[in-house]
Amino acid sequence: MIIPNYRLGPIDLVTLLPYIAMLCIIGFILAIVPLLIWIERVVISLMQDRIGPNRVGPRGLLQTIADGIKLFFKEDIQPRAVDVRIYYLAPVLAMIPALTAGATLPFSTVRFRMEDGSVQTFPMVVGNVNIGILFILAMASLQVYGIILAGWSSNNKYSLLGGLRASAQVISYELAMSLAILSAVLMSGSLNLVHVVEAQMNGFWNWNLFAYPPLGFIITVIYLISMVAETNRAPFDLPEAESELIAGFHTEYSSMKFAMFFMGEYASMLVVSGVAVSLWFGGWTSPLPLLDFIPGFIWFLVKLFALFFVYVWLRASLPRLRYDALMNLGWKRMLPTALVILFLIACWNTLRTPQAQDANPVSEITMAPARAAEGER
Amino acid sequence: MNTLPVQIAFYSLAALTLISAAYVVRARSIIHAGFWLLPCFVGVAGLFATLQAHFFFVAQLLIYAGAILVLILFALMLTRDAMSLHVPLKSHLGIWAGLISAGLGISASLVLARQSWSVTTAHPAGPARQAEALGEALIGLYAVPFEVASLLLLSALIGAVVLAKVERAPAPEPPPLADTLPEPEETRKEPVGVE
Repeated sequence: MIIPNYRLGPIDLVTLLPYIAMLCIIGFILAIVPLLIWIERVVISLMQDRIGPNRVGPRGLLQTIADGIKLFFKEDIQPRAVDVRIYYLAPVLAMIPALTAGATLPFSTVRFRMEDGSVQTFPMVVGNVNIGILFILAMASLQVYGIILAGWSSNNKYSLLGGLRASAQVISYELAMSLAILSAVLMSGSLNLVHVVEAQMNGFWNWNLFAYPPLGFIITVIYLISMVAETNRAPFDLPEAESELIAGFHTEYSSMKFAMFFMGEYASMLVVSGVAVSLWFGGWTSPLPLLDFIPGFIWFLVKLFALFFVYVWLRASLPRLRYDALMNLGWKRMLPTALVILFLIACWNTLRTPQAQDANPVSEITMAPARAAEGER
Repeated sequence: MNTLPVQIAFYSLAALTLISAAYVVRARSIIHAGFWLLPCFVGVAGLFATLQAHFFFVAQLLIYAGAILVLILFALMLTRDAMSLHVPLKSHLGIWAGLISAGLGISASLVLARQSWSVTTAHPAGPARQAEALGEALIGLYAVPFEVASLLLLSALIGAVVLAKVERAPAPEPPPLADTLPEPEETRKEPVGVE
């Protein structure tokens, strides 16, 4: 699909693209969460041979909307001994980094017919910056503050234990996650997610999942495990374990503040899944060259929902890890494995290209925001 | 580059950094002081962003705000009575501290003001090749200092492990699987396998 580059005075569609992408990302994350919760409940009930939500709306589709309205009208309880400012800040901090991290995630391409008749392809991304993947990593590491602040300010020992568990867990698994991301960066030769995706074009056999067999596959599994641990989801949901910590860090939160923690958790799940899709599963590109006519964002969504299904699948089938088992898995298994794989990929790269002069693949897609910024200067 | 939005961003970020730094010093509760470090680090990161140093912006967030501060807060939360610990702000060293910091501030600003700064219009390494330029410098020109620094960090790491081990030694038989990290207290008290 080729869109003519409409122009109104000094503004044309290409310069507006980052802003459109921003609206798409934020709107998508905020609007899709009720659907995700519904999918999760239905899939889990199918796996457990239950019926699941079926009362509100067709097939229970409106159940999460009803829950949201209920949460909105619940009394906003503030316990007596909380640290008020931090207590109110924590839910905000749980949600903002997750939304911000979407800024460097490319999710589609658009083809524009320029004024001179040529057709150019632009990535749909808010900030097409050279350190895109590092930015997402930084935002993911800021996410833990919501949990720590909530756990501490609630003045409740279960909340504090939840916050402590969360910080230890996130620090531990961030290492394995960073090493996995670095391996993908080595495979593609760029820190820019747009370039990483472009390097995996033209068919699923070019995906980083199948690169350097079997290293790509192992490192993908490592990323997927640490991604589940980073977002505190089952089987790594120790910070909010219902049976031992009565919901952990958000025990004292009610009404919309609780809903914001929930939104933040799902938003960060979406973002880390989006990173996984971009790094290992070819991003917006189609798995087969003959399927190229389907727009990129549809492929991105299909892959995103497949990863979300994996999340739900894990939650339905695996029991929660014990704390020491969690630490053993992170530090003694995944971290050394990821280090060895990173080393092997680096060796392979060095052996294959003795003179690595041009590490960056030359991009076919023009960097739209960068070009617009050049024009302003 | 000296456009109005950049100036506004610079001054508001500088104000954020300085004000939160002041709160770090002024906070009565030690854990509040720790939390106030977060806006301070984010402000410094923002200053890097206004200078178009994208890589340093992200590195500041990732290392200082994302890792070091989390460790500090983790340690503070494990400290006994950190919740109710209120440090009195009175100190008999106030005058000396004020004099020393005033002298340091004045001399630093004098040096900064006297120095003739070379102004370039072009970026020495634009945002596009910043990370690569830094990487090449680290393994090329500055390889030896880089390695020495990493050796120092490694020895500090081993030293920390040794200290922690020595302190733990008299404790009666740690659970067989739980010797990797200093854990929160709840796992240490429970016998393994209760769940």
